[in-house]
Amino acid sequence: MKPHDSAHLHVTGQSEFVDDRPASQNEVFVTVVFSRIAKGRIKKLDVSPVKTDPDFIAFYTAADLHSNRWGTIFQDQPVLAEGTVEFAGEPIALLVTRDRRSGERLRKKIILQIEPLPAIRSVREAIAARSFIGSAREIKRNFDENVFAQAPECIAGHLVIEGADHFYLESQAALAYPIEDGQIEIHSSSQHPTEVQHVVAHALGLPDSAVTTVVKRMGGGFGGKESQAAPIATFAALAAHKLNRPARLILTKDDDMIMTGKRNPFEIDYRVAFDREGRILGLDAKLHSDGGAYADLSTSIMERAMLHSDNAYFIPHMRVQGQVCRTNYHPHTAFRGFGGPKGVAMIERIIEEIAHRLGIDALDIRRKNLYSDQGGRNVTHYGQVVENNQLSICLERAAEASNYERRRQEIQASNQRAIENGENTLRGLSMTLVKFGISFTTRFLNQGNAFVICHRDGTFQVSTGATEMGQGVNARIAQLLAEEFSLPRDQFRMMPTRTDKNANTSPTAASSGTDLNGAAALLAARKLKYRLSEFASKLLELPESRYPSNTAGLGTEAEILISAAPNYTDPNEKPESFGVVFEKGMVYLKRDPQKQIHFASLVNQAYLSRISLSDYAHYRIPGIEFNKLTGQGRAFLYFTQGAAVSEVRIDRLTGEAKVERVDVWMDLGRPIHEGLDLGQVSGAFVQGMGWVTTEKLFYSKDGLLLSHSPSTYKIPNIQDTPRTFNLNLVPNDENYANVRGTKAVGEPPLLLALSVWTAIQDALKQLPRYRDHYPRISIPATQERILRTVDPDAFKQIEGSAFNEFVV
Amino acid sequence: MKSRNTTTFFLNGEKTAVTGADNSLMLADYLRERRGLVGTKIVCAEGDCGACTVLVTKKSRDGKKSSAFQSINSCIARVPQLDGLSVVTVEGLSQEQHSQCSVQKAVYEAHGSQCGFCTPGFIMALSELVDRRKQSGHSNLSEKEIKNALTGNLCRCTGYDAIIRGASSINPSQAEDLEKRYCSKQIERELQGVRKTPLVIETEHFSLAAPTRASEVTTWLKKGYRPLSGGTDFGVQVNKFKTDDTKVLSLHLVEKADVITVSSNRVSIGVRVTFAELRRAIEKRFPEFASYLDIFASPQIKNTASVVGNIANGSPIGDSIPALMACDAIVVIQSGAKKRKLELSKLYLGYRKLALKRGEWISGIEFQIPDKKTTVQFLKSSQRKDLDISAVNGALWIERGAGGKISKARLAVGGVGATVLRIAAVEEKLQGAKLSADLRASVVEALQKSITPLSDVRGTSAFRRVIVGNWLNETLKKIEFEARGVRS
Repeated sequence: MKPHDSAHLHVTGQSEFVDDRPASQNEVFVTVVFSRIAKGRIKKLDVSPVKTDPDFIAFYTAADLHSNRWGTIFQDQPVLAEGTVEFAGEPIALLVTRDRRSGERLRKKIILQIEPLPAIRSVREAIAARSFIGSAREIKRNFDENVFAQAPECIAGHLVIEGADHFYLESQAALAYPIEDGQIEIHSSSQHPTEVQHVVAHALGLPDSAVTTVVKRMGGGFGGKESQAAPIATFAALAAHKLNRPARLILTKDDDMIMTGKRNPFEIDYRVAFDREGRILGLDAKLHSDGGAYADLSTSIMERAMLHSDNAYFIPHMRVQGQVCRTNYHPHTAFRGFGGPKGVAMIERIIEEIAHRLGIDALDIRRKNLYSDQGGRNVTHYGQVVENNQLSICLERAAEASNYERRRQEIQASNQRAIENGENTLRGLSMTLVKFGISFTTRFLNQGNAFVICHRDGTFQVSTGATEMGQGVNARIAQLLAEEFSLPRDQFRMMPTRTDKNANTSPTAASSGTDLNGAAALLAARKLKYRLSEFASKLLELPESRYPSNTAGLGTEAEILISAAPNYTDPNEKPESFGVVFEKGMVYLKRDPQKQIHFASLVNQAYLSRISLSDYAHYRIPGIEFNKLTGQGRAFLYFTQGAAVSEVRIDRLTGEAKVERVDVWMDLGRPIHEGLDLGQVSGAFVQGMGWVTTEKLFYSKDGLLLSHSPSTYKIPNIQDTPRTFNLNLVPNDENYANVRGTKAVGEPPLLLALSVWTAIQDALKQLPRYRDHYPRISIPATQERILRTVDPDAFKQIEGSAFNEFVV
Repeated sequence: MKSRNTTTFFLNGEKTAVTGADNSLMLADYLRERRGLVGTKIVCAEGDCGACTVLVTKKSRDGKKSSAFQSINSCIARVPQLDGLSVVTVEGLSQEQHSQCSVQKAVYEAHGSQCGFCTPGFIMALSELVDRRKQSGHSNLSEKEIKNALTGNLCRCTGYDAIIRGASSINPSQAEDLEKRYCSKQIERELQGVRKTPLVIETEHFSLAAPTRASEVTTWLKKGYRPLSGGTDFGVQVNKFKTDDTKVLSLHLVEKADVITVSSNRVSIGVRVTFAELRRAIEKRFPEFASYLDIFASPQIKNTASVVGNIANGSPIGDSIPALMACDAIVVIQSGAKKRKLELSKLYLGYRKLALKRGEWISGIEFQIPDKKTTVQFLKSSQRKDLDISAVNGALWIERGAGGKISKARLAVGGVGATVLRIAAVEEKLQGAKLSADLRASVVEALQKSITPLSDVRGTSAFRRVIVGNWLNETLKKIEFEARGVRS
């Protein structure tokens, strides 16, 4: 199947990103002036030292905005800080200059004085100060304290999960053009063009109809451009609007990392009750997340963490509580997995701990607790039935293909030797699973729309609300349509996402881009196909001499009339075809395959018969009923599932970890495009590996991010990839819920990288000191954390009372 | 001597002259903003992600069967640093607008690009490898060399798997001939002419001088020009607005600055010798050092950064410094035509403070190669194994004398103080001693007393202590056991 629809442009350097757009005459550059301390009162902001510089053009603060509040869920965040700052990196003012270098140069000369105020710098501090965002949430099923009191075994624990930067290669970017009559057109690197449009309009006091957002493509998003692209675009738009000149804003990687929010850090307390066979009886979990200074999407992220605290396992008595904390860090935001990875990290850690306590292999503990169609063990703690359960298949395939049992024995023997002989290498092996719920848990977001235009030569332009960030949503949608019409995929050109074509769209997020927009595009295409079918069924009855192309100009023939296309709502419903077949670029009547017409000719004949060649459709996912207040209901349309087995090698002297081999088995239903799907699997897995191993955010005492570039923030590089990396799909033709039986893939494989983290702990637990308790290691399991876990005494000796097993 | 005021290089085969203030731009900015060649991307502006990778001709060919090109980070290379070279960008690879070269085709077909932002950089870094293997007559690429060639390129989308697969499908012997197009004899002749004339650029906000004679360097230094060899760190400082230096003294035209001499037990290198060149020169004679060079910095940086520059930059965590100190390195300090020599371990007076007088510069460095009785061990510890700034680094030189005793010991450690340190307390204990568990313990203790590591973004103080202590202990243990093995 043909690669990504932009691949030929990517490899030749011809793909256009926001900053690749040529400079316009009169264009200005916007540089953001931001706080470098976590919390304080703005005492002085003096721009006079730069006002006389020939490169200086303008300077804007909150006072220049029509409205200074935005926020996706709660409108609690100023576009530009006023009076006080709440995080290091918070935008305070905009410096507009002739070009980007002068912006950086002059920014240093602006006098900004902020009087520090006491800041909240951790989840712990927030809990103590009762500094929260939103209210506490609870989801439970049959929760009963007696289960814990009477259980044969109980473990209580604490898990620290730190944040991570998206590290999309293209930093946040926006280019705003003023257009006649007070309009603004913004080219934004955004996963959510509609939100950009609305935030800009609101901030500038314009009607939504005066603002158009255009997203051609992003150089990566991963959730970081879901909500947080909006203020960036607003900055550019403000300058463009005020000056009536095009305004460009391209954050440097450093500024981007300092200013924008990350994956929410979590602190989790858990209590698990289980029997001597390792069957989980009850779980009580309390999740606290660090939301940063403003709400952003943190409450939704918390909800998804709570909904994934069961992962692949049936837990009869369960309570999970969640509370987002307000701290003085950048507002944390969506990041591939959206809370899911945190809930799953907890339960996978618990499985490993149970195994260690009972001396049973963790794989067997997983088998025993898996959701199953037997014995009523197929309902989640939020009351959704796990349909089309592929977990056991994924687990067994992964175990078999990875030779789990044999390698377990080998590794055990090798570790035994290493311990006895004082060798430095320890090996670990672990499998984790994923059951990722697909749908936005906020019901109204589960809608999409699409606009399909067919031109008279039979080529198409397709516009949807989906944004392309590399994941291949455009290629998948084009592929769906190509299959529908039986035409080559490159006959379908996916157009830039524009809010003047597709309005009121949802963000391209929650792995749902293809599900929502592909379904909408297919519904639109089917309307057109219906009309073309009816038209063809009549046209093909005529001799060619009576075709519109020979008669329409003179008007010698009566027009072919057709009925109105029905309004399809189910993309999997096969429409009435009038006995017309579309096959390999040709169209014919089933009963007369000899008489064929080229698709392009048919389209032209249809035009001449005044038949519309364009269609719009809207799609809403049916059947999602999740009540956020009770925490019960069908939260998801379906689950994407999978399993991964990872083997790691750690060096006891340095704490270095190396991923030796990974076997992934994913259920992606019937993929539209297997090549793209596997790319998502490997990319998400390696991204997840970074989160659980080398990616460490390091803040100064003032709460300023110090690891704000790749020289200090270490995403995996090519040498970090697993030495052996086997990616496999489990065939599954039975996902009837989704368009064409496919399954969303963007986020779920990221969670499988937790197997690297559990494998590291599996290696560490071989050490004699961990015979009786599990070597709990935080996320990320950095080299230093591993070394500390290997030899805590050495560190205690040096650090004395400052030694803390969780925090580095 | 007559000088030029125009930087001259070939850009995708087209002779390019840059005058005036544009010379202060980084090549990546120049390409994107002045030439509309936006295929070259800028992400980190510090040479750590490879998105800006372009190919440039090497100053001199290393052997007949090598590539004429090497990859560099264009985001930290100022335009005058391209002076006298031929530059190829991603736009220059394919023969025409809608075609793809074999590298592009391979990455395309393997789904090696997702968002596409890093892709041009990967294509360029891979093209360098392919050209190298083509010139040496190979028809395939191993996974190891693919990974090594792409260590300096970050991708956040693919997980690299598809890129590796795509690269593995390339047959270098059938790849397009870059040399024919972009380093023809005629181009090379023209460029040689360019390189013979000094370059002096003076604009309102930026001045650059590039003399051709080493003896002229001091003149410019005395005028307040800052010397630049590879300039990889300077480029970062400029991009991040951490330096106000607007007068630059580029050594790229200095005669004989690229010379490497390898004798039976010593290596001597000129000021412009890059890490890549050093590695090639010592690969056979000093493989331990060569493989140490493999894990630090990216290919792009090693193709640009000079060893002397790393030394002169004087970072307490500079990766070559402890290694060279352990190898008894001597720096050659020049002023006008006069030269003096100084032990590398005496060069550092404090944090990034060098024992150089006004008008003096480091024109070369010499160091020792171990013989059969000598063991040299290197340490580089960082958050990520490859291409990461070290938390700590170090090197230990041990010569074995008669009776299993150590006749000579040198230990240098970085990342544990304001400068890289020679640890005299350890060296004294080892000198003349016989290795044993007790000695090891007391040596490690002496080391711990000699160092004062900080806690920072790369690790805590305790972490640095534990790592360096473990390493020293383990290294001595290995030497001890090997020696015993030899005897028994």
